[in-house]
Amino acid sequence: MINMVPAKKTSTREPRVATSTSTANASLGSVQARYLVAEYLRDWGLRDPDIIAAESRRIVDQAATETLERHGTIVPRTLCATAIHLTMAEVEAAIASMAASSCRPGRNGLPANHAVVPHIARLLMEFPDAIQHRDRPPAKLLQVLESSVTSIVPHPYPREMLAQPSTRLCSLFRVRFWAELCGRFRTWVTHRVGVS
Amino acid sequence: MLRLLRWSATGWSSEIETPRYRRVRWMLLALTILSTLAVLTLFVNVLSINGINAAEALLIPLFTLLFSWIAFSFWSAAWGLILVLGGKNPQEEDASTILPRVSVPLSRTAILMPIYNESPTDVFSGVEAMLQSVQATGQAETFDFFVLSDTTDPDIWLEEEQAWSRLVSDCGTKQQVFYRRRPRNISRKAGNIADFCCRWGSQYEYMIVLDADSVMEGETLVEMVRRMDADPTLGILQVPPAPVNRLSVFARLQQFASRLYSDILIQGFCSWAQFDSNYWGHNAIIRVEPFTQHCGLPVLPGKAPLGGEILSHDFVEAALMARAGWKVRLAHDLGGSYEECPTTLLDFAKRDQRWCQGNMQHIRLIFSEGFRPISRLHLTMGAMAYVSAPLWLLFMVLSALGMWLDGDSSGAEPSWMAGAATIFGITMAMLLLPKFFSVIALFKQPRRLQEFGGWDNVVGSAIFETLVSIAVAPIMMLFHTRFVVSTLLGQKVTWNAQNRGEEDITLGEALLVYGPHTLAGLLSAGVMAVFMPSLLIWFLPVVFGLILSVPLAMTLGNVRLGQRLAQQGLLLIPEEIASPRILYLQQQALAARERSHDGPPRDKLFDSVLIDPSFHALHRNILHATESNVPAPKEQVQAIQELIEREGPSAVPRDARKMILSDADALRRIHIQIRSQVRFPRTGQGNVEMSFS
Repeated sequence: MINMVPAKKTSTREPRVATSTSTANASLGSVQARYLVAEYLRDWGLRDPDIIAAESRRIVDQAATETLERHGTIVPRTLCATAIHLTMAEVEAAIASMAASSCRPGRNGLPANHAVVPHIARLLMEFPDAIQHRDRPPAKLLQVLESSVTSIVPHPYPREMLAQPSTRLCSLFRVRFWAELCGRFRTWVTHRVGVS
Repeated sequence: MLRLLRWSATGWSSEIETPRYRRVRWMLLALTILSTLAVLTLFVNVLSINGINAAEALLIPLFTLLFSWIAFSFWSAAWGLILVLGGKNPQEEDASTILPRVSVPLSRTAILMPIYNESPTDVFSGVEAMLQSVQATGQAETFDFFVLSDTTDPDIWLEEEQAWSRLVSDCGTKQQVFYRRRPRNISRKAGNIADFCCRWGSQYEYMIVLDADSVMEGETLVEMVRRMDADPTLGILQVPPAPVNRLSVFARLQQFASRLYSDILIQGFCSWAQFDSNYWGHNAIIRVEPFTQHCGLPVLPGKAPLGGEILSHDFVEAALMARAGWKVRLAHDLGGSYEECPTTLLDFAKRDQRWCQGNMQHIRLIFSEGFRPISRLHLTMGAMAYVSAPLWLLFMVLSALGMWLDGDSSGAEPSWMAGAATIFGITMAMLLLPKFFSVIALFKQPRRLQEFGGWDNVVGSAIFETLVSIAVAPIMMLFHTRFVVSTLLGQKVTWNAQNRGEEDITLGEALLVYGPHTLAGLLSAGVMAVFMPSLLIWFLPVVFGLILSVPLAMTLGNVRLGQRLAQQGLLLIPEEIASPRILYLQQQALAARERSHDGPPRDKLFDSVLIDPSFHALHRNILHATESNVPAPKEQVQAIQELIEREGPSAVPRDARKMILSDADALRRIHIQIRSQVRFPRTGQGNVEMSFS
């Protein structure tokens, strides 16, 4: 899991732990996949090389296991796609969790709905370990999140706006009115004159 | 019929209506009828000199209709002048304007900015300026902003999302700015507003409806809410918007005319319309509950263009609101309300083409059940604004025909000449005097005169504007005639976004658009010169404008000339002499956005949303939050994925882009596809150079 990565930043680069996919006989596919995951994390705004290295290694391992289980063999292309998919899901879940934990209800009782964290890259640069603390963000990060997390739209309270009935012409402008009037006049004349 | 007359006389029920504007209505009606009858008598006398032939017989009802139309406008403006000179407020009896300002919390209000393929930079600069202006009033908690997009262009859609994201990250959570885009543009702007009412309307007492180019001062927004709170029977309060910010000669002419002449016209209008006023579609505050209950637009019987969905919604919504017993008022005394106008004659005509079709649909409503008489008058006036053009043209054609039937010598008769000159003089005076009234009114408004830059600026600009408007009138007459005829023939108009840019017109464009006008002018002048030379002098103002339409259109659309006129002190408006704070904030926000634009260009945003993970997540979040996810057919997504693999995201056509952007799942799949195939040497932070395997 992403929050298993050590949060503490060190001044010197830690030796990389050998894993099953980064051994000398590691396939070209896992190297490619790690490179792509690392790039992906960097594009999100993560800048800490240790976190990036450890995360890409862990995610690609997980992706390799999944690919092997599903397909029985590791095709580099499938491995890369699975690794990116996992990375995307984890980062987005982490951000959603942070947004949810910091998003206060809207003003005047409006509940917040689908919040976003604008400029997440800037935030991750400032707090490189933010993703690791997604469930219990530190107070300083929470403070920053509270002033930046924004709802896209308020919670809807659906109701109908019915179209007004179709406009009917005033009686003076309706053919039927004149037809009725003529009919009444004819009846009156008939009655007066006495013709049946 | 009697009931109709009685109703028009009484209007609102006696407990609401005050005797004063009832008297004004009667007075204006009487003056219009009397002046029309007087000039009609003169007209018939002139026609009778050589006997009335068939064409002239047709002229009589036509003249009555056209003259009564201008007579009513004239007397309304004249009454406006009298009110200004007398220092009277046309709505002084109204309680809401004299209520003391109490410091009670204001009701919650949503500020709606419906947009449709507009420039996101301009739109969000306006929103940002209003946010700052509202915050300065200390009433920020009262307002929530909603940017309601109906945008269909996928690149503009993405730019809107980026602009919104930037705005909310800049302003933080101090103020709520929401963004939603509808997947389907049902019923255009009216449908967009209705969608808001259905989803979130119940949470707000009022909504302030803006246009994409509208801005309003925070103080004005607060005052609008205060007035609505003060009068629980008020349904719509419209604040007249002043056109600003444009530079071309034509735009500056409109801005000057609107700023100078609107004062007495609006004063006159308010004096008779009072609580049966009108709604102009934007820069107005609306009580949400009655609007939702009573203003769902009906579908007109018959097919488009005259039937079907109502296009010009504002007048109808005002009429429906008034029908339900709510007041509709014009806040003539409130400033700080601005909009932008078309910059060229062609853009102006294009906008008119849309409005023409919309207003002509109203003709049926004029004769429909249930509407208040003054609402019917507003609908009639809206339709007449366009229908009068072909009637005017018909009048001229019949006049020429009538004289030709009488023989060419008929026009040389001294009594005929004197009578015709008198009628012509009276008509021109009634058309042009309202402009002069506005200049006269400045004698009583020294502060306003100062705002316009003094007498030299005002008089010079007014003369210039009057001459140009005389030259432009026949061009617009031909445009409007074409629009009316094409609407009657069943041609529908596409309601595209208004062109809000400022570009000069090339000779080729001018010849293409105004060539027929020039030809019509030359042809009619030639025919008259050959067959009825004595008539030519009467038609000179008309043919002059038509013949010169090409150079005129090019000159009017010229931005540099407009700026030079401003340097000479011509056509200046108060907002150009001393910029209001909101316009200053808007310009600042616009400059800041243009200066700090570091993202990809608009046509590369689709590539960006497929590659950049945070932009991709933002877009998908918005789709889910606004319930606008529309799944695309799997085969088509598959085809697009193959295309992207072969040629890259830039090769995806526009419609396919829109389809992919609307489907969160397809977007996710393509995102993963691209990100798991890309080989990129990094060229800099945030920029990737791609090659596809």
